Amino acid sequence: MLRKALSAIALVAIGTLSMSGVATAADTEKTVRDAFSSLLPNAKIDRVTKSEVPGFYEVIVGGQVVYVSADGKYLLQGNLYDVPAKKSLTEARLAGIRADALRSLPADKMMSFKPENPKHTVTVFTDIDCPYCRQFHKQIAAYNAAGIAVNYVLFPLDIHPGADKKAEAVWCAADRKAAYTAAMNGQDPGKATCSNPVSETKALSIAIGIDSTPTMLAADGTHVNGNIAMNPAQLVGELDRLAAKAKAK
Amino acid sequence: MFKRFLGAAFLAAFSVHAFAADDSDKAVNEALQKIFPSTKPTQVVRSVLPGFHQAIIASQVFFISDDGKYLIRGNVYDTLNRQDIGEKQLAAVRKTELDKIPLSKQLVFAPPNPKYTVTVFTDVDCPYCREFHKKIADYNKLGIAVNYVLYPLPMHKGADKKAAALWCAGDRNTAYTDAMNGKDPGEKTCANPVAELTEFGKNMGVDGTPAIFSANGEHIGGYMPPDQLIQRLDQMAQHSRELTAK
Repeated sequence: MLRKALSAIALVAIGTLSMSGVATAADTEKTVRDAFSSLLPNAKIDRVTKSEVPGFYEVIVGGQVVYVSADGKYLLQGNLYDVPAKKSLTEARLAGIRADALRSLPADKMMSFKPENPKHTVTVFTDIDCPYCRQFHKQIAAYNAAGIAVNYVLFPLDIHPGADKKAEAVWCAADRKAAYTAAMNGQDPGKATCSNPVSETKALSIAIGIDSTPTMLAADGTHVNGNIAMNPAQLVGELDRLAAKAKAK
Repeated sequence: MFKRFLGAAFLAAFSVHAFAADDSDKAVNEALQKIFPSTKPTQVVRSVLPGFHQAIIASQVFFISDDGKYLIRGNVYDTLNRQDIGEKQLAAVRKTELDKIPLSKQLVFAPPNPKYTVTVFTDVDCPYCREFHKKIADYNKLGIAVNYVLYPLPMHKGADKKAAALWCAGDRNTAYTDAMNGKDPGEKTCANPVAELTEFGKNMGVDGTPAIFSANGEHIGGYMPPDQLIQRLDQMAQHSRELTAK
């Protein structure tokens, strides 16, 4: 979305951003903010911090990150890699943002399917009318048996009209988890309504840049590849690897 | 002042081989080789982005820091001039490439005094190429000259034979128009540039049809109706006038 907005800017009239001389850190941050806003006046900046790359700042906007040169003259959008470390600094920052968002989401706004002593916990953004979400949930016992706890966040997509009502009906059922499982097996969840967190969880999903379902995040906010996520055995291996990596840090 | 700055950047893009290989060039090339062991960059130049070089690899621009430590895969914008720095490098290279195709190897549909000229890579069996050509009179009326480059896609079986057949027809432009209206162009053969043009487009990174490029090598995109295309060309011309005026 940000990318599309940015690619359109090359066509609008040239701006009149004033560039001041070099001064204090606060001035630099203002220069960076002004430069960003001159291109995308409607985007709300969440945070501006110094980047690891000398001479550049990170601007966090709606769960995404762009980079702006300290003089405000250049804006970078895409993936920034640390070559010797072989890692994407952008992806690492985004994972951090997502992990913070997950921590801010209370357990009573999710549906948790977990084994006795889970080794790993993943968060899965799910939509009742999404075929792969259904396929995923059909294997829930296998994930749990492998020691993986699954926290579902309801995220009905706009492309599935009525999915939001179904999510609400599931949430409002007497036995939420049983209702979810039944719905994933194709049963109509009915039309129960009650006070529910669906619009809130949906907004949070969008805010951290999630745009499809099922999307799986590991505890550290890493986006787990879809093919791996769909395979319980492979997923355990991947989560073991991520946990080892987090420990090594 | 800005004109001079841009002029210098332009010069830098074309005098790459004139630079003595200094330390940063060496670090950049070594890092690129490590990251892309099997693909040789088409062009590596110092970037206007301070502390960075920029390289074209497989028709994509990558920015790499002078010490080889950081790589950017994405878009870098000049905020003041509202320009995509990587796209600018690609456009300059594409213009050089497009200029190498002689008009005698293209199909030209032009009005008397064209305001703009676009190059369109086209495939006889591609529905949006047909859609585009059905409106050729409208594009021409708006002052847009269209130079077609035959670019049969491998996914359209037999499209290369059709391209050759219409090339070999007595009246090429009419044969093309007929083919775009669904008429079988037959099986005529003769010496033709289709294979050469196909190779050419592939090297330029053209991966779909129609692919529309401006005379400056900018990639305008896929199918666009006449009113939108002229609007886009006007905007691009306006933008480049503003840059020159600076």
